[in-house]
This record gives sequence, structure tokens and C-alpha cells, in this order.
Amino acid sequence: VTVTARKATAALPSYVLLVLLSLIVLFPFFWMVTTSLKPEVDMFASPPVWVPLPPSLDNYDNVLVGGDFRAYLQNSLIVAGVSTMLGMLIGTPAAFGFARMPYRFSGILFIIIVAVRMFPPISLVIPYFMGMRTVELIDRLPALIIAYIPLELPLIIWLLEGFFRDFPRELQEAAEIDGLSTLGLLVRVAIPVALPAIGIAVMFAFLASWNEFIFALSLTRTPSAATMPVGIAGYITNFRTFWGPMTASASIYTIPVLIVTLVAQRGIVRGLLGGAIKA
Amino acid sequence: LTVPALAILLVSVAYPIAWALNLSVHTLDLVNPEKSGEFVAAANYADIVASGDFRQALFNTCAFVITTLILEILVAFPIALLLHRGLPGTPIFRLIFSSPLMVAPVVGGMLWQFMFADQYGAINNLLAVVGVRGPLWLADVWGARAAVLIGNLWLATPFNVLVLLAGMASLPEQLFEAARIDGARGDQVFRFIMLPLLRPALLIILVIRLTDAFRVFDIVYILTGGGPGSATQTLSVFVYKEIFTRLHFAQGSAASFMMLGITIVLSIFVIRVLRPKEELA
Repeated sequence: VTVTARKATAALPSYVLLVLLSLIVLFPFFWMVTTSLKPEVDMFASPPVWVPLPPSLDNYDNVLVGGDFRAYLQNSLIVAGVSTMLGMLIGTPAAFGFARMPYRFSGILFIIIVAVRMFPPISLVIPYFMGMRTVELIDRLPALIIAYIPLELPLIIWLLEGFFRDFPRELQEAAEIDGLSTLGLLVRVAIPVALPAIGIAVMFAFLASWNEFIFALSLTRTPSAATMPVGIAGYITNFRTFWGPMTASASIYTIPVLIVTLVAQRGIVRGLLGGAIKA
Repeated sequence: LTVPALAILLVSVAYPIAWALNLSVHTLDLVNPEKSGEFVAAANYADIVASGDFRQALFNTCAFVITTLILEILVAFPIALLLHRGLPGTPIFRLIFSSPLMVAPVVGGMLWQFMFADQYGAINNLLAVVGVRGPLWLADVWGARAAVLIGNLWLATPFNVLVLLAGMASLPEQLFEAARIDGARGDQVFRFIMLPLLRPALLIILVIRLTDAFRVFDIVYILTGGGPGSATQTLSVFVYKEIFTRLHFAQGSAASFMMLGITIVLSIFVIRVLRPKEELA
């Protein structure tokens, strides 16, 4: 008993520190949710109402019934969903190709693709804006879908390349002996084996477009195509900021994503690092 | 198999970049279209370099990148070390510390803007509880800069923590045991064994966070809009305003290419300096 007791005392400072840091990290979430549950009168109280009692669902009512919230949410879902699907469709074979079928210059091409990820997106905003204006896609959903595919592709290729590199050579040889075509090998053997990795790639690609702001802000402007980030930013006006509906929207927009990604903890680390460090 | 992806990236990245590069050496006048399309060589670049706003933005961005990288690593290291000890309950803390990672920067910016508000903001009211009179964060030059740094720190530290943790997990356990047997103190182990071995992890953090911080837009745009004045305006925000507020498309292109150039030079520099002897995977 004394040994465990001593161990516990030794660990106590660490726990105090961890809890303290956790509170700081979690505070913005706490504040987002409690603010969204406050009635208008408590919103600007000073000192603030830390916990609204009883909580009011007025803001959620407002957001869900009236207003453009549903349009933004729907746009976000369509844009992120479709662009992720297309990105995976193009990116998965490419990753497999880079990992398993190297050819002359494929190494350099791969590095260039990965480097695209580090591009400042603002340098693409001008040509995209001008181009979309010419083909009259400004403020329409396809504009964002088109803009997000090149955003996701490097991510998907980089991530999956790392996994396909670990794909056992014997499996590839066996498939070749069985007379499977390259495409058959990919669809019937490699993809089923890499399913968890593909899940992570989908998650990261989806999140990249779900959270994207600068293209959405430049290429869309009305609820007919604008996504959630643009919608949320729109609650900040020059005259006043509508914190109630804003925090309510942000809660609905953020929390499901948070839950899904946190469930996939291990995947996150692999997703961040690709094949760079074995996690 | 790589052809479709390459073709798409060629059309969607290489071509627009080339187009914008071409634009950056021509005139573009939306009001008088007949004056557009004139070849002006480096005139747009000269305009931008001569502009005080651009220099301010360049300075702000560099200052932001340097301070945020230092802060992020300084904050992330102790957290990663605490989590690496593997105390009971670590998975829960790990979950908590990685949660801001998936939050849209727009939402992060909005939350911090609300918390930094002067009268009803949570932060100044919390400070008042301990008897400190908080500054007018967002109206003050240094207050706004600090606010951007803090907000960004909240968003970006989790990435650093996770990468460091993964790096620590891959270290060979025997090395640490051997050091302990040889009587090395904790700080010696950290300084002479762990730190050098974490070089690949630190390299990844530096390269990724450097390029991310250099193009920072969302949180600045939402939290301060670049203000007060242009005290927190970063290069991305400057280029955005150049395009959509002042409609200087050609100059905006020129500025974005200077940004691109600096990013490339910086990342190559970091990789050169920090590359470990053995090649990274």
C-alpha cells in the first residue's frame, strides 16, 4: 500500500498540471456551449453569467427554424462530401502508383505534389476567382468543389502513399501470378487491405474542405453556395455581433466533427504524419 | 495510375499559378478595361514592395511566425513529456489536448474574439477575479497581437503535442535505461538523449508549422481583421484585401508570388539546417 501511495504522491504534481492545462484547453468549448444556451439578456452581462440556469434553447430554435443556417450546413455537406469522393477516386490510384510502380521522375513528381500542400492558398485565389467569373461559377457549389479537389489531392496521396508502401510485396506478386490487372490488384487486393488508411484519408480530406475558409469566402457570397465558415463569419457585422446564433451554429457545426475525430484518435496521429514517423 | 491525379493538379494548380504569374507582370484595370493587358515587367512588384502596408504585413508575418513557433514548441514540449510518462488516465488527457486540432480556424477565431471582448469577455472577467485589470485586447496594438498569438496557440499546439508524442514513442527504451543505470540525471537524459533523437519530429513540426503560420489567414481575419489599423495584418490578409477591397488583382498576384517565394526559401532553409545525418523516411 505504501508503495502505491508514494507513487500517487509523486504523480500528484503532474496531475495538477494536466488538469489545469486541460481546463484551459477546454474552456473555449465550455464557453461556446454555455453562450449558445444563454438568453439574450445574459449575453452581455458583466460579470458574465458563467452557467445559464435554466438553459435556454432559443438560439438553437432561431438558427434551426429561421435564417440560412440549414442552407450553409447543406452546402458544407455537399461540397465536402462530393470533393472528398472525387479526391479519393483520383488520389487512391495515384498513391498506389507512386508507392508501388515507380517510374522515371516519379519520386520528384511525388515531392512536388506533397509540396503543393504547403502552398499559400491565397496565391491560387486570384486565378480561381477570375476563372470562375469567366465561366460564371461564382457563388455556385461546383466552384468550391473544383477548388477543393486540388486542396485534398496532395493530402490523400501523401497519406495513402505511406500505407501502400507497407503493402506486402508477396501479395502483389501473388496477384500478378493470378493474372490480375493493375486495376484489379488495386481494387480487389490493395484497397481492402488499406481500408483503415482509406478511412483516415477520407476523414482528413473531408475535414480540410469542411473547415476551409479562404476559398469559400472568395468564391461564394450568398446562402445559395456559401459554406458554414462563411456563414458563421457573417454573424460578425459592423454594427453588432450576434453571439447567440453564432455560438449555436458553431456548436452544431463543430461538435459532431469533434466526436468523430476523437473516436479515431490513433488514426489522427498516422494521418498527421503519414509515413514519416511510425506511430 | 498517377496520370489522372497529375493531369488534374496540372490543370488546377500549375496552370492557374502560371496564369497568375503572367497577370503579375501585366496591368489589369477593371474600371478601364482598355488599359488592361499591358506588359509592365516588374512594375507591380515594385508597387508592392514600395507599399508601407506590404512591409508592415511582411514584418507582422515574420514576427508572428517566429514567436508562434517558439511558443508552440515551448508549450507543447512539457505537455508531451507529461503525457509520455504514461500515468493512468493519459488517454483521456490526450483526447482533451488534441481536441482543438479539428476545430475550424474560423470557429476558433470567433470563440477567442468573444472571449477577448472588453466588457463582457470571459478573459477579462476571469482576470478581474484575480484582481488584474485586463487590457482592451482587440483595440490595442500589442493586445491584438497577443490575442492572435494566444488564439493560434490554442489551435496549433495540439499538432505539436501529437507529433512530439509520436516521436517520443518511437525512441528506444533501452537507451533510457542504460542512461539511468549510468546515473544520468533527468535533465541530462532530456538534453543529451531525448532532444537529439527527437530531431526528425522537430523537423516535421518546423516545416509544417512554418509554412502554415506563414500563410495564416482565417484566425487573423476573424479575430482582428488585421487591425487595429494594420497592426496584425499578415501577408495573406494583405493580399486578400488587395484583391477584394482595393481590386488590385495584378498587384495582389505579385504579392502572392513574393509570399510563395519566401515560403519555398524558408522551408528549404529549415530542411537544410535540421536534416539529421540519416535520411528521413
